Amino acid sequence: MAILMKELKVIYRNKTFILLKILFSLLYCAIGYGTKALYEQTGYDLNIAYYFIFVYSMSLALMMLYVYPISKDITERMNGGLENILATGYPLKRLILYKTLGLFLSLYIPAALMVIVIIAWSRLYLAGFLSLLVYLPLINGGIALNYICSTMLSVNPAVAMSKLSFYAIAVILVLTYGPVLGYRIGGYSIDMAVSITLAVLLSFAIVLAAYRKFRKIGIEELIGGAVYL
Amino acid sequence: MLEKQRCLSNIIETRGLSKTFNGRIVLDNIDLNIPRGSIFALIGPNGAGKTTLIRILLGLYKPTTGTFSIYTHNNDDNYNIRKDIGFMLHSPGLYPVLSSYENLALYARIYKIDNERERIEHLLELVGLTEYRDEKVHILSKGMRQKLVLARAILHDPELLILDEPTVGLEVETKIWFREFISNFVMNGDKTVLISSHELSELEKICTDVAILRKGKVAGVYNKFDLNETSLEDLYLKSGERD
Repeated sequence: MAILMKELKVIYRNKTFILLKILFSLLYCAIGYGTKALYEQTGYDLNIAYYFIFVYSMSLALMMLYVYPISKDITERMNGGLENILATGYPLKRLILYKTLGLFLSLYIPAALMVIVIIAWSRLYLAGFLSLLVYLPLINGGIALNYICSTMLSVNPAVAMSKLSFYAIAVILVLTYGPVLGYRIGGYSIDMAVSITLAVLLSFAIVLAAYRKFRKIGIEELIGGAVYL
Repeated sequence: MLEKQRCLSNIIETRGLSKTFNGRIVLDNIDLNIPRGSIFALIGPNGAGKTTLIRILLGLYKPTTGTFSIYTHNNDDNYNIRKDIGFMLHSPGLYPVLSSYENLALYARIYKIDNERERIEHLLELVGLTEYRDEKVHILSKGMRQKLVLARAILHDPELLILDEPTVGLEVETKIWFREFISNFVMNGDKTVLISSHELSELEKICTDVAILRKGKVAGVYNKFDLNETSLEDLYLKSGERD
């Protein structure tokens, strides 16, 4: 718990990040409320609500990744913060999990707020709580673990961060604007069930990739990589 | 590797310790005995393997071959021997946005120290940082940060203190302060210090034993009798001539 408290203190002493998190949380809540208008305009098409609960919430979580102050983790590694903690005998895996939890909370909360707003007007309780309690934690946990392990393992964490952020933005664009563009350009309409299935499959892929990285990480790789920064 | 047997004479023993990174030999067959109650200096040029050796002793690296043993007074099989070891690594590992107190509190909780607040207040006073208790670390000078790291190293009252170049880049007065602190630390209890440094003039005033590393090998080991007869600098230079 000492490590988690340290992570949260370091994250939330970044005033810029706090401001962005509040803004994004408000924005996501507004989006969640705005989907009600879209839902009514499309003739109460439930697919719209499901789309926002499952696909859009994931995309917005990825967007939070882009504003997360990962520089603090890079600085910690360069300053020897991790090395010093590990030299006390503190377990590496536990250290990673607590760092992941710090990032997870930052990703999860804004997206969860949006889903709660959607549950409130749509009354899709089963889908909504499934998203809140299973789907969103799974994706955000996987993303967070993947992100932390990638920046820890990489010889150049800044490059790893840029690469992951690029993929995150690409997924956001494909899943959110892809169907719209596809319809406008090719007249092809993607079934919502397909979009949702893709999102769920992607979430499992993220978790699997994260688990593989987590298993691979060792103290020597972590410290040895920091030597070359 | 970390044997918790009681040993009266040595606190650390290494036998044939070697470490290789991607085929490059960084440590080659290191045999060392570090006596209990000593201030044991580890000196050598850059790249000699001092930091690698320290990282192995702290469990951050696994040796490629060979063994090492650290003997402290606790014989309990379930005991975490790291609780008997304090350290100052080359990178300080302080968190700039946390205060001096918070940086120490983090490690106090990792080590599960009783009376955390009293212990931290006492250490801050000991290293002269009481007035900086609630100041964020990024405003502290280098010397102050190193003192804070030293306070962190002795937070859990360790038997063995491992210091990797603790005075690099510090002003003269702070170096003298560190030297006196280390002497008092050893004199006031059953403590041992292993210190890696380039500051030969400072080491000479306090160390009781010296090992010189060159190109990953032990180039010489000397005790206080040898040091009484010749200067550390001469010993260091002579060990280089043999290469």
